[in-house]
Amino acid sequence: MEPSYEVVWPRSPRGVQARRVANRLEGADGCHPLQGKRIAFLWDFLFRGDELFPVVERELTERFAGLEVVGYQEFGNTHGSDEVETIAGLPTALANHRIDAVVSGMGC
Amino acid sequence: MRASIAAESAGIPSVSLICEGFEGQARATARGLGFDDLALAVTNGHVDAQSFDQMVANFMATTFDRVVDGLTRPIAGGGERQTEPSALDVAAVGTIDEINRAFIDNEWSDGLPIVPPTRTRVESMIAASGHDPWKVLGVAKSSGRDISSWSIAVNGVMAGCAPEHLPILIAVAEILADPRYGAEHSGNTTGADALMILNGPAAGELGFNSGQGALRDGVHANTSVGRWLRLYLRNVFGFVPGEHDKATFGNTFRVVLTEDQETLEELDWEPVSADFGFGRGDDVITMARMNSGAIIGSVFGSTPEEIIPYLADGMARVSGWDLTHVYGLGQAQFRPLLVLSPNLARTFAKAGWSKRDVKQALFDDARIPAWRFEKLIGEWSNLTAGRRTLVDLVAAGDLPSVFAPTDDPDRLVPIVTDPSKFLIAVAGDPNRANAYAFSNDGPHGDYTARAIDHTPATDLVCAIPPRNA
Repeated sequence: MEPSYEVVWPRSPRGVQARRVANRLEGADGCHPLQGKRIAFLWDFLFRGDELFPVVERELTERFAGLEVVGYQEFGNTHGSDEVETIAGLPTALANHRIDAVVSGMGC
Repeated sequence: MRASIAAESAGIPSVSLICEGFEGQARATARGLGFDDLALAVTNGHVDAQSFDQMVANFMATTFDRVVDGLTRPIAGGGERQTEPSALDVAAVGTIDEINRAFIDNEWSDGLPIVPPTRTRVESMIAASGHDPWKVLGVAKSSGRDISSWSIAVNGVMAGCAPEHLPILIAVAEILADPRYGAEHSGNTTGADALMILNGPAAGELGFNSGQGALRDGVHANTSVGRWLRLYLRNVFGFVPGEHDKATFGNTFRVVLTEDQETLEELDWEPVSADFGFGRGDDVITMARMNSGAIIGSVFGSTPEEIIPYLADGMARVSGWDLTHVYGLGQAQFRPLLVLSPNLARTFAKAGWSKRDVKQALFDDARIPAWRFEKLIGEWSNLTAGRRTLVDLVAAGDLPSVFAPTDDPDRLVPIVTDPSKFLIAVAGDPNRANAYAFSNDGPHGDYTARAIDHTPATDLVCAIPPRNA
């Protein structure tokens, strides 16, 4: 008869606790939630973000009155050699620019 | 995803633009950082394969509305996470075939038969080192899982490692935990695999092969430690195909490359670990992810001057899109590795050349036309944003002047920023004149070295409880 084995799990516990996402944007009565908001673009300097973000900006600003975009140039490259520093500095940078919401790309 | 998570953590809603096919990786990455419900706006297809007009049309057809929804539609969230076993729980019971079937079905295996990680085997592996089984070396950024001595040993047993290999596994795990290495990028689509380079007297004592077939499976120490790394990336870092692992092709794991200690001593050459600040007698593991490899076969010549052109040609040939790690995705992080057989190393040493001299010669000879460099990092791959020319990059101070002494597109430019960026190892059949060139993946698994500590640990704070406790 073949021996039987009792084996343990090869993974390990998640040391990171589950967290809730931030509240989504809300608008005043009669307003779309995106109206009048400041939106930051964050880019990893890959996969045509330099071509796509201007399209996103044009559409957002045309459709939602008072919406302002703060470009990815203000925040640095979110990938590559500066990634750790850039991401560590994001909370402060976003606060300094009074950002209400973020569009981040390009994950491809 | 990590940028979006930084925003969410600061209380700012985000939406992430991702290409079709990356949803699994995006969700897994977010989950690893604690967020199960990040908003995604998925494009139709991959943007790199579309004309500008197609890309915009696809974006307007579906993705734009997802951007708006992602920022404004409430996310319910709060779903319960699946309960997972604890370390000492029995995860499977059965014969060796049944255990292997269970590990394959649960995606815990690399597809080869594993050694069943019984509690007794795992305890034996840890007992040999004296390490605290519950010590956490860090958290895997990709999965959010603990990098613990216990999990290192479990996967070590599975891979067939011997208990005396555990200090090496722990040193590698420390590299994986080091943010400078960038282990979270180990599943990028270009699919590089890590190469571990072992230096020091322990290599011979533990039976590692540095001679003929140095990069071939078949020697227990080199192979089982190489296999362990792939299993650990899968099971603890979450690099399972379709989720974190997005390798378009990938490779099988690489066995440990061990430098030929005896030849280094005979030639009075420094080991690879010396490039990272370690001494000649130190036991050190150095690791980086490698993209491409090329054999430089049958190198003909009896002087350095005769053999350098062919070796330099091999280094230039192995360098393609990854030149974006010279500037672009990386910054001065392109560091190709040349593995010389002892025979070739002796040709240099006989003429009084050190590794440093070889690096200088490679810097002078391994050159490509500027137009080709620019096309590789910009036009053909679109990996260096803005498609700036080398002249632009030199003018901005982002590259040294050697990349643009003139603006002639046919001028020859180096493939690294400085001679010291080349790495040279000595290994392989001592009697053959062959070499192997590797290109590395820059910040996506950057060269990081750790000393291997064989002394029994004194950090035991929590022993494994007896079975009936």
